[in-house]
Amino acid sequence: MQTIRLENVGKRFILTHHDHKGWKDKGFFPAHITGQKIANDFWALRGINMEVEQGKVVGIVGRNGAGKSTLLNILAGISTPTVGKVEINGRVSCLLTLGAGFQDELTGRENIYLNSSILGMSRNETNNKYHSIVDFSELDGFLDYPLQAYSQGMRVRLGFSIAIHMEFDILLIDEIFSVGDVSFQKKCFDRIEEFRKQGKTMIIVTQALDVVERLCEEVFLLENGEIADKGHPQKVVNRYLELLKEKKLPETFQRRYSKVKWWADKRSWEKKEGSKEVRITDVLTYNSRGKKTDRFKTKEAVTVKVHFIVEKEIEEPHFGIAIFREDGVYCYGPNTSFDGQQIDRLNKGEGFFSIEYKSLLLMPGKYRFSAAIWDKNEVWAYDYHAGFYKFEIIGNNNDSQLLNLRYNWYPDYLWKKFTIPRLLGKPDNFSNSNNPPKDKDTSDIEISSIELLDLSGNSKTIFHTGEDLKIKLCFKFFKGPQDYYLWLGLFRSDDVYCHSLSKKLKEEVVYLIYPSLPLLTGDYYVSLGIWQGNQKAPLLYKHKAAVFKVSFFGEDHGTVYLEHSWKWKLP
Amino acid sequence: MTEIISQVRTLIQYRHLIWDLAIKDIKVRYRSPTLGFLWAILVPLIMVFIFKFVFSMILRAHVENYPFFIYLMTAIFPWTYFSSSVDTSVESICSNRELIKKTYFPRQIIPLSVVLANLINFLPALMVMLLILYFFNIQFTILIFLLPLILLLQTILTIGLALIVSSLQVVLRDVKYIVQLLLTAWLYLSPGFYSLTMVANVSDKFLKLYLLNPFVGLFCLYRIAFLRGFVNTLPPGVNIYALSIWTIIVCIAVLLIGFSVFKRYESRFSDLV
Repeated sequence: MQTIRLENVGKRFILTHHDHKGWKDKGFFPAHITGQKIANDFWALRGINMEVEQGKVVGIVGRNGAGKSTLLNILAGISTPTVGKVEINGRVSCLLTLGAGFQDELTGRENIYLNSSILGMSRNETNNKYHSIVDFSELDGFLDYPLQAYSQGMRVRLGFSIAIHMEFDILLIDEIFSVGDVSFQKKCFDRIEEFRKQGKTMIIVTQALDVVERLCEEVFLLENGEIADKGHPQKVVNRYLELLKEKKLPETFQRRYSKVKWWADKRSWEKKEGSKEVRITDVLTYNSRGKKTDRFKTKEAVTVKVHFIVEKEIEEPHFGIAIFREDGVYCYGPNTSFDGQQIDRLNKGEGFFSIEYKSLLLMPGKYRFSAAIWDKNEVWAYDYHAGFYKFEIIGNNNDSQLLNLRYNWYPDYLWKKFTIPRLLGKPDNFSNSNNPPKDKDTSDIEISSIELLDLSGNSKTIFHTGEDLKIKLCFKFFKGPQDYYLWLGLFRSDDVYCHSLSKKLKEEVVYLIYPSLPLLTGDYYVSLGIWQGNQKAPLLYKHKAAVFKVSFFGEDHGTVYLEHSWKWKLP
Repeated sequence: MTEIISQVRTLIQYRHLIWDLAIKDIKVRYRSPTLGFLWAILVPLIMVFIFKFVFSMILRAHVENYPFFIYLMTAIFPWTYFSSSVDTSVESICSNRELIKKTYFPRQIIPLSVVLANLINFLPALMVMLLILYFFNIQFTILIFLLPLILLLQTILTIGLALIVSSLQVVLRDVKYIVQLLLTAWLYLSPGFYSLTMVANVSDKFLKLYLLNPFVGLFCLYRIAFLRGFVNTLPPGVNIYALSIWTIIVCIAVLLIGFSVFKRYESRFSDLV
């Protein structure tokens, strides 16, 4: 018997954008009322045919935006298809968004009842299952507190426990394998395994491909709103992996991702290479006042000027300057071709090019840079002076942080820039040590949640270069506020210590905002530590408290995007 | 007809949800204010004082046979129930975005629970009103037992309108403001702070038109239930039986229209909120 049957199902979305046109241009009534021809629409799903027999466990895989969630929403009855027929026999339960409709003002107990009736449980069912729900959630003892007091993890646990106690014939599961800690996850898996044994129909959407292969009997691959492949899990998963290789997640992102360079090849330093049709004759650096120097202040505007002589006429060259730290960390290396600037040809004669960095966001330390003139495909260099030129950013930098980023704390106080010289046990020099400090817990204070949010407050793990990154930190003081200091370190996934900050910790919820985060493509993580008073060792330390990816639309190598402009005088 | 039966069946199936959402509404509404649930009584009472001040002190309005305060109260209290229901239901679908986008249940439950919450909110005010009437030495007659029926009739009308405005608001965000304006106009076009006799004095034609407004019937019925001998104060052009039947027809018609309008737009909610 078919429990689910989709026939030629399609879903069209109308993209409404709030531009600043007057109502005259827009038409007084929105297009969906007047039935005007709609210009901005797209089909999130098209021609979906799907049959699922009772008791089958079916997986749906696909890239972000392939239409998986839209399909689940249609199956759940939340959204209706624009065309096509949907037949569902049986009671559907969703593990889509856990705890949708939770009310902060109500207690855990009240929320259990409210949420169960939203999910369609009758009062009697809820009464019967109440204890089982509470047991599963492991939240006994918190149920008389309003939900405001719950951490994010507790909410999700509660939501999951309620959802999983529904009576259902068909279960829809969307990306829930990241719920809670490991032991809770295991419990969830056990429960799903149990459902399978009971012969329930399940539809699972996830990026965890091992889960798909382990649990599912049939897998559908969605691509651009259509079913690209279906059948045996292994076959479809392999097909999906191939697809990922071809196109990669956000398309631009993955391509850059594989190419981006984070380290310089130090062996090539202090060498000049190239076919010498063009020769770099002189490289000069200027500070913000136009004075020639190789010592700068952090965040200063810096200009690098490269003089060259063209011996033989060449076509479409491009110029590049790359900055490295003395230990080989690739800071930033843009070139004119990445920046989309074309130079048609170089005639014989003398000329120069220069790059002006608006603000050098590097911490004090010793740096080098390379200057190069490349051929149009960057296959060989006409002249390449690798790591040849040195400069210094003056000041103290004891713990070898790389970047001087702009940030704001919220709540913010006068001691925003408060530095804590006493934090001696602070993890420093990560690039030189192979063993990061061990995680440490304490009974005085707990990190109840750490969330990475974008500007509009959505929780995300992939950010774009230049996007605002907001880190929400929630703590729980078991002994009330003490003389606590919070330290937060931002690291590249290869443990390069990018940036850190510290502040006196007085409140349980703290926001850290990096406005227009300039990090380039790659994986990064955040570590947290809390020190008390003048103690040397941290009270609490959490390595990799949060991880995130950054994706950059351009191709520049390095770690940090430095705003810059090119100038040149060509012969 | 089968449509109506299936509607009723789903509503019965989901009755707990309607109740839970209504209770949630009330709890959320009164958990933080210091005066809490007292506001449910204070708001209509203060409204009555304001109208009393304006109309009887400044405009020197008055009605025969009853204290003006009582006359006002018997209309303004039910009116606040109606207007606050419609007013809060306008945005009920739009503001429950999360529920609409992420869970499935019959959507009409949302405006229904809003009306229910306002009804629960209204009941203590009703009790207070009866107490005040008692202190004004108004003698209740057997007609007071009509009260639940009148309340039901008003609730039917309210639900119908709540369904219409809440679903229209999703497709056209201007509805909210239109509703606010219409509610004000509607109050002034109902015999709340003037008597029907005054309307009858304008012209017969106008009176006929005026009587189409279901709140004329509702206010009259409330006053008949509360105030002894009120029927006799009605102007000769008004037949209370015809008026009642008309009101019943209008209320039920609005309810049916409400369900059908709601059903028409329901499927687009999840895309448009």
